[in-house]
Amino acid sequence: MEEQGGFEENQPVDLSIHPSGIVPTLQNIVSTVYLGCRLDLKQIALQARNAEYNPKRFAAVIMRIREPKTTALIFASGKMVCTGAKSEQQSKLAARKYARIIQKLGFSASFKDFKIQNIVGSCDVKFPIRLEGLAYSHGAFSSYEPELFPGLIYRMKQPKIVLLIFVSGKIVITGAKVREDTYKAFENIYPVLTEFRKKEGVKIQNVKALLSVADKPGLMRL
Amino acid sequence: MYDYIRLEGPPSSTSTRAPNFCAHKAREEPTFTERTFHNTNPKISYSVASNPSKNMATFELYRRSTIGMCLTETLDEMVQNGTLSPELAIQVLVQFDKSMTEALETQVKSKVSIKGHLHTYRFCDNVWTFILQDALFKNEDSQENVGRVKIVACDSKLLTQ
Repeated sequence: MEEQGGFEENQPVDLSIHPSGIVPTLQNIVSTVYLGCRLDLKQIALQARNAEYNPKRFAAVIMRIREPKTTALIFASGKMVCTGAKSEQQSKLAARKYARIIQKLGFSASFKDFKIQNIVGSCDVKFPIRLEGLAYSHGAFSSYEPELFPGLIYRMKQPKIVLLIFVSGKIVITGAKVREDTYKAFENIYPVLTEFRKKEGVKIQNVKALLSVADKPGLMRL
Repeated sequence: MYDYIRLEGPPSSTSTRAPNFCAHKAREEPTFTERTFHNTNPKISYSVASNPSKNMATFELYRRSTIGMCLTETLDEMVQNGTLSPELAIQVLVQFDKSMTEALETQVKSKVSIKGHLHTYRFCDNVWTFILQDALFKNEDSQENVGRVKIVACDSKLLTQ
């Protein structure tokens, strides 16, 4: 993962868009495109490089290219899903490269209805967070079940974005179709995160207290 | 579980003469252009053995190993000068397929590791094809570098189904 600091060094953060001073890093872009013709998947799998086709398992050819490093799912209907790119432009470039490969194999592929379907970003606020407190005060949006998943799932309504918030202060932001929504969602949640910032010293004392209780053999049976 | 590797290494190391008995393409040029190289794959079709007692399917991919080529050449010669009927020659080849599979399964204990840059992969019709560059072959007591390797692998579990 690219260090956020590196990004900030190159160009100053626009505080009107990112008041927190933190810019979420885009990690994955999922896009779709329609190639405008039906495809013979077996022919594609036989002729193209770096392709997998196992119709018993999955009804699409899985193809990969190295630049931009992405994976495409190619369906017989002519629809294609491109995943793994780090930016919208890279995702479009990759989808174009796949369409070109299909064309070169002799299909009359065009490039229709390209659309970004999902953007996943992540960042690190660099302080620990009290997830229980956050879940309690934002109950309508939060789902925190540490026995099922260690992160708090925050379903923001405006913009309609899902955030995964971890104790460590690492945040995953998903569900955006435009990167501005990713940024907006993070700026919306940032003040909440600072509100529920964990004071680590207190926590350590609590742990020590708990341990000293657990040490007493009589109490263990309770 | 995957059987068979085929080296496209130094051209001097393997025989490149293709017999006419079995209509295989000669493998003089290890070509890596997309359209042709799949055609140069060894034939991997199931052949049902003519022996009714052991009606097991086999892969034909060992026929292009040195020993398979030699056998094919000999059978070819015998068919040519009339000492063997073509039907019997085919039956011998099918037995060879079976025996190779069995021998590799039960009598070969040595292990080889292959490590290299994966240039191309493909999975189609239950056959994996890998092209490696600058591969390092290692076994217990020796190792060797090969510039280009093509690995063709089939799932031997498919034979027992």
